[in-house]
Amino acid sequence: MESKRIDLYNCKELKKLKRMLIAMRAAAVFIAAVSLAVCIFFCIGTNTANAQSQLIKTLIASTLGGWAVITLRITAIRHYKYACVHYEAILNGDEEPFDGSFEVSDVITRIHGGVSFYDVKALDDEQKTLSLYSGCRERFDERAALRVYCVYMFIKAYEVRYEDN
Amino acid sequence: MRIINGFFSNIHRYLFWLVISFVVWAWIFTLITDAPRAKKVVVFSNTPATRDTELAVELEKELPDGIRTIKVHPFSYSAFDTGAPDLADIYILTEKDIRENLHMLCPIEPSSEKDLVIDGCCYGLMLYDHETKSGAAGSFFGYYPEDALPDGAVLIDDNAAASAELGDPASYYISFNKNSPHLGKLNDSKDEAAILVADHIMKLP
Repeated sequence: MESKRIDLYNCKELKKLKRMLIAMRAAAVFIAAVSLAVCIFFCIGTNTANAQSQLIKTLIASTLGGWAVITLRITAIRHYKYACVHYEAILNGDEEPFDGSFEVSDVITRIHGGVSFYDVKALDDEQKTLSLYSGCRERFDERAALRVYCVYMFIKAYEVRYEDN
Repeated sequence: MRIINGFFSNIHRYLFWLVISFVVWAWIFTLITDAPRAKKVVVFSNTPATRDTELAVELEKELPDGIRTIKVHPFSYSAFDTGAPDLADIYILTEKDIRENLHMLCPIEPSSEKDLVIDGCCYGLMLYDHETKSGAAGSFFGYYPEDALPDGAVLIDDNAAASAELGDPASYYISFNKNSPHLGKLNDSKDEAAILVADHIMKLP
């Protein structure tokens, strides 16, 4: 019986994540620049008659622009930044193999300043609890896995039975 | 759901940005719309009602040389800053106000018999005569006590308490701050912008 290795992490995926991170940061800078330009436009158009209304418009533009950037940062930018760091650490780390059968929990754990992951119990070894990055959940078939390869206890790749017909 | 959770756990960032945004832009707008004392003329009005923005816009149509802006404030504007009226150039006051603040005012040349003369010196140019119900700038100043009421409110003549709070009708005069840098020969100032602005006010409908 032969086995086939399936990698959950690859360089192509890492490049895609880095591109998304750059795109999200560029979007944040763009929103901030547009917001600032709008505020400057309102300032330039200010005179005694419209000073109050121009100030209110400027405050609205500045506040909404800032809030959009903050929202982008705490959602998309952080997500891609932590994912890139995680991918690089896993791809460059030393592998440690574990044999047996595995069970993935239904609960996602999120670490502040880190990625979200599932706990994976090694059924043949009750002492071992591994981790599976949430972005790899769909690609990991725990029922077919015979052996997993881990870096920092995160499942990086796994082997399945491969029958050559 | 993740976005909602993220919002509530980061609400302090949103509030902080709101405060910073308000402080910074309010300061920038003050820089844009204000000017040093030497380049602006400030009018403080003690009439029951003042259309300050409209009057400032009207007066700025004929800006004196060297003046960048004209500010018009009702006296209530200075509620939190008791020093603000000291920096004004022109006052719109009643006779009672003038007598109480004579030490701040500059004696001027009278231009009519109705101007206010106290102890041989003229301190106020007649702007609105209560007895004849005639005067200038009625479009911008509410000279009657009921003008201070909110739009749509009616003064009940039988209600003495309500009438007393609004004060009695009076005549109004234009006076000048003796420390104004815009009085020309009156106090050896570099320019007479305040005189020109007062002249403009007295020609307003």
